Amino acid sequence: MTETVKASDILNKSLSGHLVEGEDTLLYDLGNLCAFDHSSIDKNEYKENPTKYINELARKNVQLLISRLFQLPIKSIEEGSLALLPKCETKIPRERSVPQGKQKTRWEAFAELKGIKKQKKSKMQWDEKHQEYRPSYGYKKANDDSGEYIIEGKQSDKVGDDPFQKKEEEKNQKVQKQKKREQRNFDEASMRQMGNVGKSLTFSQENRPTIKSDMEKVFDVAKLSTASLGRFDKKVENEKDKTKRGNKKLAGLGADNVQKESESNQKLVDRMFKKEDVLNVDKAVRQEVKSQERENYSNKRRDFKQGGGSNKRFKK
Amino acid sequence: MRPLTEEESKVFFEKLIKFIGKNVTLLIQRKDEPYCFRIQKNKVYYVSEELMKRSQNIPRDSLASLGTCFGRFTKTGKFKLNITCLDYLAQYAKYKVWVKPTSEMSWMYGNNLLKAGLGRITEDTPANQGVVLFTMNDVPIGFGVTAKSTFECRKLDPTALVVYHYGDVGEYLRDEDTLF
Repeated sequence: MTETVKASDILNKSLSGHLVEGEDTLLYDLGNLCAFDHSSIDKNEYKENPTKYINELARKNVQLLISRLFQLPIKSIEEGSLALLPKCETKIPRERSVPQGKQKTRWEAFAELKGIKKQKKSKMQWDEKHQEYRPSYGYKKANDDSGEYIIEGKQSDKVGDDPFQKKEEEKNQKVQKQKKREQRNFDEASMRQMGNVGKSLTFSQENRPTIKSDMEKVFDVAKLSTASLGRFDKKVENEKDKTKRGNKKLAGLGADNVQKESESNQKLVDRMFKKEDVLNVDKAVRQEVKSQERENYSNKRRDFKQGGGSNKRFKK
Repeated sequence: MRPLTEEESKVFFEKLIKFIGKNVTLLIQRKDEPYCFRIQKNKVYYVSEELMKRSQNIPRDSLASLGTCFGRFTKTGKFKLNITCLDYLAQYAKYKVWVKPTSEMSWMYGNNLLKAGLGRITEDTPANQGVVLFTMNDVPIGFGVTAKSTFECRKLDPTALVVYHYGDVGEYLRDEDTLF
């Protein structure tokens, strides 16, 4: 019915002399289907008729590139044949800027400045009291003095001081201090709008605009922080209808993890199959009818055998 | 170019499942090479990971096409399959219809398939089921939706509609400029 026609045959008939004569000076990157022409432009010809000159040059170079492609090893599949491209040589630049890394905490920045490197500590520590190795923190930690009921007195102790309470307070202070540091690091690293909200405490003239915008931001968040996302709340007089919300960010370029994506797609599809009706009604009805027919038939045969040929149908 | 959102992928896979059923899994998790679905200017493409990574270098506005186009989202959020995905549909199709040589051309001009042109049909095909159409020599020529089940088809008169037209290979010529 249909005949396969080779592309080269058509070309030979309609456009004889399409092949380029002369030396091939192009640099090729066939993996990207690219060719680069480094030869200089013929100024006189270009001035005469720029478009014609460029078109002619482009045609020649494309022809060279395509004839190179036809020389590549070929893999034939059902629909035709494919040229196997070599590896890409040219590196294509990114479209967007490189994503910025996580911001360093104050300690990390300081450590880098001073050249302090994190040293690996073993998890276990020698416990003098129990004469064995114990974990350096957590349950049953080494050198744990929290459960002690006697604390040795010092010269500096005053009468009336509770050493146990003092120890606890010191520990609490340390914890609080660390919490403060963590919060500060979070605020500094936070790219969100809410990072600096509520920082200006005095109601001076120059602080007013920031205080006003801060109030709005907090109000917007508070409005959405109900079970119905603020849908059924009473409205204050002159309240704006829409709250400002950040644009929902889609996973952007460079954030692709194809494997994760296909896994989540698979989950979605599986869920859809669970909902789908497994029963094919037409098929089920037909099977039922057929099985009934078969049963009737076998019943009849049995009757016939039992009756010894006395069945009405065969009596005549 | 971006991955499909949850809602989009739901609509998209629902449409695919109509045609290839559980075989969607074979498209999502391929054994040879990781592939993914990407959306670019309303069109959904099926791309290998390598090609996808390479096309990330190109700005959205300048990216004309990549991989295999599966179809497009309409402005009302529905998904329409494109004829370019026929290769995959034909490979994994659950229900098939073979068209008689006399009606092949009519189908490829965009008409619905009549009973007269029905050569063969997969057994137990229900009504309103996505099917892929083949010539009698097993060359895929399009896809559509059945109007009648296999069982009903036997009693129909020759002028009755059997398969509604969705897409056919004639579109490669008719809609060449908007296809890819």
